[in-house]
Amino acid sequence: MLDKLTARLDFQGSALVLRAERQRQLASNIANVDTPGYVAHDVNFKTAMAAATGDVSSSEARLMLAAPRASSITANPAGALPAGVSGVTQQSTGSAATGRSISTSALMSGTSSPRGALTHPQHQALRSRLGTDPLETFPIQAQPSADNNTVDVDRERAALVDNTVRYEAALRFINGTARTLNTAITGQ
Amino acid sequence: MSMFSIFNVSGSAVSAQTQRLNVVASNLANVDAVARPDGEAYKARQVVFQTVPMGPNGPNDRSAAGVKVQTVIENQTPGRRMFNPDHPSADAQGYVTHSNVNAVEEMVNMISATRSYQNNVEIMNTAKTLLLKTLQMGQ
Repeated sequence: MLDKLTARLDFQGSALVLRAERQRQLASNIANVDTPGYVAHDVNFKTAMAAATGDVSSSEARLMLAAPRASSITANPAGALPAGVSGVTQQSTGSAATGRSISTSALMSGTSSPRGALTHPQHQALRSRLGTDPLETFPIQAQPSADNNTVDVDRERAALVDNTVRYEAALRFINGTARTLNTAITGQ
Repeated sequence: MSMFSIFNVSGSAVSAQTQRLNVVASNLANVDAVARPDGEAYKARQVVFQTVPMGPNGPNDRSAAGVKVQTVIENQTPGRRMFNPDHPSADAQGYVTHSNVNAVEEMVNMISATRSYQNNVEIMNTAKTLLLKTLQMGQ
């Protein structure tokens, strides 16, 4: 009975926690806007929310959480790559910036097999967290920078404003629910 | 409460950008400095930033990333040499060695540091507003 009373609060509560998490991630990205080699992170809110609320009806989250993690990183022979990443094979190690942005975009595009695949023996493995944590995404760079930093300030600022508004929305929902419950309890 | 580490993250960034501004200030102050008697002129300095893990669960928690100035490097290009035989610091050929500071680069660096500073202050303000609103939850 009581958890039915507070079920809606729980949902908005986890949304609030995740929004705070994302806010922190965006703040980290903006703080490191001038750090050479920093890779921007973002919270994949949809899957994170589905994981937090145990929403197994969301098949995508279930798939991503259940997917085998280690095998996809090294298993791909260079010949068996889909068209999206075949361009990387020909690149020398010198053009690390473009190589990374291409493989990242392949990562983000939703085709599951090339996640973090090594396409050249001299390529360094992408960070072990890349592609293994479905709750985290790595935004694609619109304009690659010379120091391999992948933070796009404009994008981060926009995401920050968006996240702020949604955080406040979650707060208002919580306040509204609490007020409704109070009204029901006091009966006036 | 995970949002409190935003103040650490953005605070570290603000502090790092201040250090960068400081370096820009010393570079600009020395833009016209001439070489010391030993022939060594002022060399332009540059900060190098590095990511520091700053998550709420201790120093190895990489869920939040602050920034610090790892080191300050000196630009090793030779300084500008100008022919000015009347100058007291002129060498045997009549050349005076100035610092290797490029004023335009420094101004651009300054603008960039300023904007990053402003961005981080704004994030701290936003986090503060959100936390205050969270405090008022249920009232």
